[in-house]
Amino acid sequence: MTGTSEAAKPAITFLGLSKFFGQLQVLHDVSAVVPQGATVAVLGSSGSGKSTLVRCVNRLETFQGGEIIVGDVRLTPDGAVHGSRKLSDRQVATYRTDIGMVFQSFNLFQHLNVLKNLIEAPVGVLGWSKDKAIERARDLLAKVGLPDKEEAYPSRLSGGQQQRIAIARALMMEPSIMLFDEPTSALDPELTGEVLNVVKALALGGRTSLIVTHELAFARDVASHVMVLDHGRVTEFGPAAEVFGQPKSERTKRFFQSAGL
Amino acid sequence: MQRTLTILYEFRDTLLYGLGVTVSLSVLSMLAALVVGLIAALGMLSRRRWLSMPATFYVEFCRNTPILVQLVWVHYAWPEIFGLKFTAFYSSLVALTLQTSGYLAEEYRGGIEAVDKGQVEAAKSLGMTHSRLMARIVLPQAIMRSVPGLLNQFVTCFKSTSIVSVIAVPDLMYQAGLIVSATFLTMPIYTIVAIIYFVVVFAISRSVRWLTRKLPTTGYFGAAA
Repeated sequence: MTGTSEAAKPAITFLGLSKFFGQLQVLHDVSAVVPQGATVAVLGSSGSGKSTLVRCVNRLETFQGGEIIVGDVRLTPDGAVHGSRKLSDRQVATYRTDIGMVFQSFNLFQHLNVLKNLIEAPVGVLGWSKDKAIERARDLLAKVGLPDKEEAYPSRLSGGQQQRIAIARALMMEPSIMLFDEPTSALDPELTGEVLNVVKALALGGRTSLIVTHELAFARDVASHVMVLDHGRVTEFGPAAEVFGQPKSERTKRFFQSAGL
Repeated sequence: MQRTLTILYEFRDTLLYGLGVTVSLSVLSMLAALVVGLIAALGMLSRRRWLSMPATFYVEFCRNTPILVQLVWVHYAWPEIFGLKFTAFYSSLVALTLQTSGYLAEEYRGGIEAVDKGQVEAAKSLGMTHSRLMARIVLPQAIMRSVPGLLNQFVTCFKSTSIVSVIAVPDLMYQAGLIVSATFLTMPIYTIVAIIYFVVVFAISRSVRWLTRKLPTTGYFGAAA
């Protein structure tokens, strides 16, 4: 993790990010530098702006102030910029292919079976051959423990199974960044384990990840860095050991204590 | 009763021909309206005002003018307005397509708007452009959802065809009029025609209902229904 200049180049840089929903300000001057390969647990109570922050990274949300730098692309309130050129809608779409996202509500394509969910974007967007996509899909389905569900439609699967498929679908694109927006919040408690195991085993290795979660034990287990948001402000950001060991604010201390950490 | 059956038998060719015209008009205009309605719905939902404004106007116009007025307007006014002169059959086809496409556009739009926002977000996050995600993710789901409504509009379209006799299209209703003026058997002829319409429309709407129940058990509707 340390040493080379390659590793030192940040993966994602938030610079004074501000966002409003109408009159309500949901992000206040958020700044943070996420190193390459970091696994960042984004913590905070409901309504603290965690999901919104993560959704700004792949531009599912726009914002009103500051910017986000991802690789060579600068996201600004006026649009995504590369060098001095504003990206077209098509180029923004291409930008998103390198950023996988896993949603709270899974969002598998309801009209496609599992295999087609996995290969739709690699074939249609990245232009892979169908054979190559199917091969990778089968490999990933085996890794998420659902090799026999190729033909199943999402509505026939449990929430935990759907979310594992959704993770596989995002990984099909071989993204260098993964965003997890409360991946287990819609699941029954007994199903969160299988999903978190898949996240840990497959999604994180070497890749930069932002994980919005309420599972503090999981965050402590996998995170290299921790960000704590409170009412849209960053109250803690740093290596996991530091933040968990010596939180700066009383509020975060109480937050961790209440979770039994 | 005996007499009615005799009349039915005697004029069977005329009535069958009329029924054939009625069926082809309704099927052809329905097919055209399925395409035009979809285009209109996509236009209405477009973010570009120069597309959404005329599309919305078109749909509102089609839905808020009576079919009889549209029919007469197309047949007698279009030659002067657009320089388009059709035979009575084609004028009827155009008018029925106008009317039906307006209603179908609303069915499609409802279907498109009912597709979960999460489907769109997932498609975007996988790098799909707006047109790709519409074509591959939203429309297939929207159209499946719209099927019951679309089929019901076919029933309405079929019944609307009886108006075309006004401009002398030889449909079932028009043929009945011809037979009546030749035989003065007003009551039995129009009763027979009413029964024919009823039988056909009843059969269609029952099939629609059956299909609508059957659909949810196929494909992705699986456990959702």
